[in-house]
Amino acid sequence: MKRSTLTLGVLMAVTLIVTCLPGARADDVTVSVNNPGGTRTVFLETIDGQPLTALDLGDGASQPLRVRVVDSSMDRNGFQVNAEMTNLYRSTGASAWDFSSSVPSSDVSLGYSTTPLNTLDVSALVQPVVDVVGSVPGGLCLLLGLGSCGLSFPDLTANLQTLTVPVDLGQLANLPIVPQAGQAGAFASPSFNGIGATDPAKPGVPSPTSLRMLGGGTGVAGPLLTSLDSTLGTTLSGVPLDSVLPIATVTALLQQTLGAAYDLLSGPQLTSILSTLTYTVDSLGAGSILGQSGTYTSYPTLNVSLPENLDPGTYEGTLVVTAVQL
Amino acid sequence: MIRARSVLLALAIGTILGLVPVRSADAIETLRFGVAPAGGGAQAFHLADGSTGQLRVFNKTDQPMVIELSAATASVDPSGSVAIGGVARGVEFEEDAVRLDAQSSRDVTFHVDGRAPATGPAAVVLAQIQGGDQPGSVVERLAVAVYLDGVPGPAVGDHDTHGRWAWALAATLAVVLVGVGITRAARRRWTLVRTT
Repeated sequence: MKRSTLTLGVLMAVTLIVTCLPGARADDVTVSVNNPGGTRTVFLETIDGQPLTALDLGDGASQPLRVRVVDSSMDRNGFQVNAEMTNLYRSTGASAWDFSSSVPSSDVSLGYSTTPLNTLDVSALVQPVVDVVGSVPGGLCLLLGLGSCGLSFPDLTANLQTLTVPVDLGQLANLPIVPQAGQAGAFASPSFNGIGATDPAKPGVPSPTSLRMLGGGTGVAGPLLTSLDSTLGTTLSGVPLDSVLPIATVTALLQQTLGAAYDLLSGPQLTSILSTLTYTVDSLGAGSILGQSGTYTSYPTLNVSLPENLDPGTYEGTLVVTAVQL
Repeated sequence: MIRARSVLLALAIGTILGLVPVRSADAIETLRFGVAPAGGGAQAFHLADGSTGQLRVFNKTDQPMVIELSAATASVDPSGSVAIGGVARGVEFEEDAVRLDAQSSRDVTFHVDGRAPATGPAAVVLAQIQGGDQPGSVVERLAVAVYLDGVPGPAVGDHDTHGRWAWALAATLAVVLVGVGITRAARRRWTLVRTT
């Protein structure tokens, strides 16, 4: 009984430590997680950035809107934001419609301006790999009786780096998530969600037209990796070794290489060896990109073409927006 | 001692629950709610035919809400865009709707019965807030793609579960009829032997 109580106590202590651990000190062991596990938030907005809850076309025939997807340390996986449209039914009162009098969804369409996309604040979370070389200084090397004075530690996993990715709307393939413009066109087949859910003509298995308003794909890694390699080189230029990877990693490798001689080293001697170490950064591979952040925006316009001989009145429908994690 | 253990147990459970955030990692979300494959570490479902998945749904608001759950077929059109179609009959949630308290989350199990399409997801699992639509309004839905492992075949939406049962029933009937036929033949032979 005491043992189980103790186990629970230990479990609590461990979980509390994980939750409440303060910022790591320089000599703490760095624990990195390969899946950053971020979030992707979808905003449906008016053109001036207010949450879109209704689209009042008034007497006009079109209304612009804005679809914005904000990724925060998200994995490099695609997404898509699609739109479906119900028929527009003639309103006969509060939450009441004449389903026999409607504007078919095929008279409602999506269009886009000449600049249908925008992309901002893109960054990539990468896991660099470095090769470290150095030597045991001559006199010390002789004193320790080492066979070889050279030191080489290849393929060491370095600290995670967040790299800003420059955005060129003409070179979208260079981005971690390649934004895809929306599809223009009419909603040939209606949705029966929202207002349409009570339409007596609702078929057993509706098959609504689904148009992409904004997408994001992973694209080809090549151009992105070239760009990130360049940025990583600039970012790490002149950065000391102990800021690129945990110094405990290097000392552990040094201890392994020198064997018993390591224990004979004084503090200044160890420092003299560490001061000879330099590093080079390996080229990034596709698996080095662990996450990305960015804001991807699309500017669709909802257009309605009113049929002739339409009964006068107010017509209402529902725009169904579905954000899919691919 | 029992009381102390109970308190410790409650504290431990509470602590562990406290580690499960309302906002899930790898989630797709709106200002009000979000969805993600339960367990984290993946943004979409990669499942085998006949297996189950768990969708985590979460309420980001300070008010309770009911989230409706459904599934739709998915297909990749020539432009590479994923089109969401009608109801995916091969995907069934254990619950069609779940009530979420303010700032809370729940994992909901669904079962998949179908074959992988040649490309892209077989279906999407969908969530939307019940009663979230008003006249002239916009309905926001969140979805997670469901990819099926294995040999491509009829899509989830086209997969006829009832047809599979019909074949099984027909096969059983055939076996029974053959069995009856053999028995009658044996009886006739036995009768013949007996009478001769």
